[in-house]
Amino acid sequence: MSTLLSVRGVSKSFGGFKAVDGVDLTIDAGERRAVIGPNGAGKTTFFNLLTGLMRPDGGSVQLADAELTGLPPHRIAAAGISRAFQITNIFGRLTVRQNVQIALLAASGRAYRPWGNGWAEKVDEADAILGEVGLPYAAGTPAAALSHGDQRAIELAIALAHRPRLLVLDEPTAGMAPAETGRTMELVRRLVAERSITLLFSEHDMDVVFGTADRITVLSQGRVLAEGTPEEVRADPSVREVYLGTGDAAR
Amino acid sequence: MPGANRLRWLGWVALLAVAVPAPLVLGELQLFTASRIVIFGLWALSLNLLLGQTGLVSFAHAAFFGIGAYAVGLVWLHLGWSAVIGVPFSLAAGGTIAFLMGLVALRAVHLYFSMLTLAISQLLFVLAFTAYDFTLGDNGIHGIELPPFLADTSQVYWFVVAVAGFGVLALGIVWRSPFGAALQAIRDNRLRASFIGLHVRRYELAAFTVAGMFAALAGSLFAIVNRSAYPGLLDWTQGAVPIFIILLGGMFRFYGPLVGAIAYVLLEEVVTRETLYSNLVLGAIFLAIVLIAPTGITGIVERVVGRLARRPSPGLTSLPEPLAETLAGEFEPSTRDVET
Repeated sequence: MSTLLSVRGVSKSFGGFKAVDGVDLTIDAGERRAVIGPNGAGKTTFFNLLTGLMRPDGGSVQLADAELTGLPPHRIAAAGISRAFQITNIFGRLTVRQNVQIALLAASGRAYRPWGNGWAEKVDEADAILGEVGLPYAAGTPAAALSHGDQRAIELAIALAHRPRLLVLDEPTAGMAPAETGRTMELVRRLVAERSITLLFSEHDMDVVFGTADRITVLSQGRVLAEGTPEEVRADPSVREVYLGTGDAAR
Repeated sequence: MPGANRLRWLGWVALLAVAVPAPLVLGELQLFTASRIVIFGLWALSLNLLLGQTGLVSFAHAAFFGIGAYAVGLVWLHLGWSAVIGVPFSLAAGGTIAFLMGLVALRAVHLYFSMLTLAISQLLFVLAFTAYDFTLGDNGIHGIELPPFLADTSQVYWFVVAVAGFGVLALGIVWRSPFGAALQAIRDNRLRASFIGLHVRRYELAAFTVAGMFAALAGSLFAIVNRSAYPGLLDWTQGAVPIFIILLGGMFRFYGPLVGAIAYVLLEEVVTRETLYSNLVLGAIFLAIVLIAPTGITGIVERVVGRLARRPSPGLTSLPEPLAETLAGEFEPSTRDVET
């Protein structure tokens, strides 16, 4: 398989604290990769570096052949990386449908037009995506009025609207009830398979990680501690020590 | 909802039906009041492109109004051209200065952006105040002569309505366009807007420029009606007027500021006539709106109509009531913001 994402020696410090310290990561096209690690291991910062929210101090990020290092978020989105956030991050006053419509409009590169009827465009396409994430009934409701779980689904719908090559999910099931978690991850697995999207996600719930990931990267103190298939990672003694040994695996 | 659409069209037709034949009924003084409504309405609409649609709080909107007034005054004073030439010229002047100001001010976000607009607009105020040879300084430009086709008050009024009508139409087209939709997304969540691929700062700059253009157009009409332009128009405290109008009318509907302008000008007339401390009364009303009805008159009307129709009205303002109030109270959609 061909390499989709290639990260080399990416670093980020805050003051004297090295949040991400020379991380290498290579993801093949079509792969489902989990990034795990204890709190403060640098997972979210690493995602922020990948998606342009923060500029890396050093290192490089490439998607296929495109050089993405240090580009702003809208350029990285245009290159094919879509991101959903750990803390729900949607357009609250817009309706659910409008949330997806504007993402579709932005992805089409034609949102700049100061003429025509903006909210009359991309309606069918938006509804199709809402159907896929299981939200068709709420299309006309303001997004802020929905439940947490449904807002995570909007989050996913916005990210999908972009037809991304790489979907980055930061703790997609954070704050969800167990039943909701199962449904959400099933949805994610189905959607990335159907649309042949490569998936990169971080997660605390080990059932989710081992149930979804093809390969797992373990971060600890801003460095890559281990990488491999779920079985290899599970068997790695250093991983057991810093992370799994704390009893999280049983959760 | 087709019913709401029909109602909206009916509203626009009624507005025209009242505004156009007004000189046939109203006296000179009342016509002056009507002109004020139209001009302030356009001014507030242009600001609402920033405030209600993009979520940008600009303190520079008095400056653009003043620039428009000076466009008329200076064209007449220095070039000896008809003052009317200053009206289209105000669009260019307001747009150019807004673009340049936006380039600087939009390097910052939220409150810092607001402070930069305040600082730069005060700079323009001081410029108008002190550049005596060019602007006649603190005296201002008075007695601007109008061409023969604007000889009497009715003609001036119709001219104002025609030009403002063009401005309202243009702003309305921008409001409902895909560009306008993108601005709403930026208002709701600036960070996420950049992650779906919108170049947020470029959109904000475009909105700021358009808002400056049409604020200047409103200012040019002010100069035509009052036949003067003076530095006080650019003072940032004047910028409170369109903000008051927007909050009074409601910021989440395109026509909100127009409703607000009617209410504001009439209210101002009554209050200044009946009381000694007009600002005190207006201030108290302002406070009451912010606390009790942050969605303004249009919000209240929609709520009542929605309740009568026993169905929630769709669209931007139709949040469940408690939610609408909380949201309207806080203007920063996201604190985790990014330089884009």
